[in-house]
Amino acid sequence: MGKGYFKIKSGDKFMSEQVTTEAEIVIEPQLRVEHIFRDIWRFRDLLWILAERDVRLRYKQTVIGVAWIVLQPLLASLIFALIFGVFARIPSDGQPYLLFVLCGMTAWNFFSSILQRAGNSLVGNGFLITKVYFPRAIIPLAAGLGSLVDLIVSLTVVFGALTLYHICPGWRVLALPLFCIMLIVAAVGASLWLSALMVYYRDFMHAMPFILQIWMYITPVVYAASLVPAEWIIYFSLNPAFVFVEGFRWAILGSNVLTWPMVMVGTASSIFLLVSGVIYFYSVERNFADVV
Amino acid sequence: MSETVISVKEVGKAYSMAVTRGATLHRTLTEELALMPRNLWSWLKGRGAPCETFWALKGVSFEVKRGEVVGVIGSNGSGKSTLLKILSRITPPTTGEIRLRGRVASLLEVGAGFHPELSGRENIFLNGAILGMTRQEIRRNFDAIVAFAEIAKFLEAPVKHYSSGMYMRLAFSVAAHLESEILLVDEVLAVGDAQFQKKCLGKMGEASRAGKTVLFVSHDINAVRQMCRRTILLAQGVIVKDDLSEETIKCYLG
Repeated sequence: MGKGYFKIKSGDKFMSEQVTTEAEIVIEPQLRVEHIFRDIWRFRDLLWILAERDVRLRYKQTVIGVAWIVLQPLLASLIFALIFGVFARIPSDGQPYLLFVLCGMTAWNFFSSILQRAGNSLVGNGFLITKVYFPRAIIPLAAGLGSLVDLIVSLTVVFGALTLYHICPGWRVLALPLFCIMLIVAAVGASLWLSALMVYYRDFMHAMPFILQIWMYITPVVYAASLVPAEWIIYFSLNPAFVFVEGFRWAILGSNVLTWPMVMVGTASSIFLLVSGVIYFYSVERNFADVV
Repeated sequence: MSETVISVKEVGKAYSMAVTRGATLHRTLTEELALMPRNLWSWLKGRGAPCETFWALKGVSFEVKRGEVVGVIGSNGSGKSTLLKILSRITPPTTGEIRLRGRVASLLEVGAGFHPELSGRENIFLNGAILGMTRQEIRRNFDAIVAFAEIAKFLEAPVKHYSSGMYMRLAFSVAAHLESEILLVDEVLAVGDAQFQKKCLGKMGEASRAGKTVLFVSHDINAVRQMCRRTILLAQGVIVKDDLSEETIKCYLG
């Protein structure tokens, strides 16, 4: 039995390649940190299948189906354009207000939908957590992954609208993927926090709409970031959504509020959210089944 | 052939009463806010005030050799399910250590993760992935799964339209086709009709003949007697008897 005998500790349950491979699994009271990512890698198929399920389910038994992805931001933007652009006349950095708000909404919706879906996902899938073992982080990650589909569709809408207005975004549009990635980093970090907290405290389920609403108000979605006094703007940048939602406008519409210090602060706080989220999530992860 | 596949050493599992008591399962925010300054971290980890602990398992040790089929019996609350949950890594042990040699398939509850709106085909992939199969592996076993479940005609229909029999057959079929060396089975046989139960037992027998190790937790003394040579009796979280099935069952009934 000596040959092919190697030791793998708590991190992994399944040898996905070959069943005949002999691996020893050690189950201990404490989790080994080094196996977190390998475990997720091993279950990557589950990640995709769960994400696929989420996307499929969202539009099952709807009449217009996937068209909702287009309609939702478009209708919301039209309403905002009417209220804030036409009636309240909020300045939009000289851009057509509809485009201005559509850009902001696209970025914000992406961010908030990750938060919302991933945040609720652990509690929503509690029946799985108590029945089967797999890396729990797969659940919020898969839920967030579904939002990527929405982002791609709504970006198409944005670029469609740009052509209607005969606006051609310059080289800055190349920075867009980076802003998306930073939004993902921040959103995943925040949703690891929220989803895990929600397992222990259902209060967060009720607080979620408020958290999102308040977060939206401190983010330049319907207003321009230039409305924030210059000396305050660096503090507002602690909110990653503030920086990177504005980043969308910088990249697509060429607005000029974004500065390097803002990007640095936003990036730092995104990474902080992610790292602290991962640490927190994994410090409570193993006990989910006992609590959820 | 007599290699140890499952080794359980001094395993214990403690639940804190604050967690086990239903009403305080989810404490309110105001309650918690009062405690918060005292210890933010323990609050974040979901531990509020210090609370009594209850040991669902205590000092449990045993070994299982390759190809053995071992039954685990005991009255309600004796720790059977907790043991299986720890073995399948759903919940961590509080003390002790477990070593498992080889891949584990746990049939704690078949059909976990089935979604009513999705079709049979979609659910096979979903459920298979949840149980730890890769896409490739599911594709490889797909036809066998469908054939065993006898649902080929309804593969594309959402499972919410399935009869409960079809549903159960599909669920068990997916779980039974997980390629593993160790099989943990808990009460799956309690559901389904006589014919289905027979099929399940048959599959388990097949598994043991193929050299797989099976740990079978059940209330059904007859099924245990029929399936297992050796049986472990648990009572209040400790092993009372670990012997040939006849002896253990005599001890349990007597």
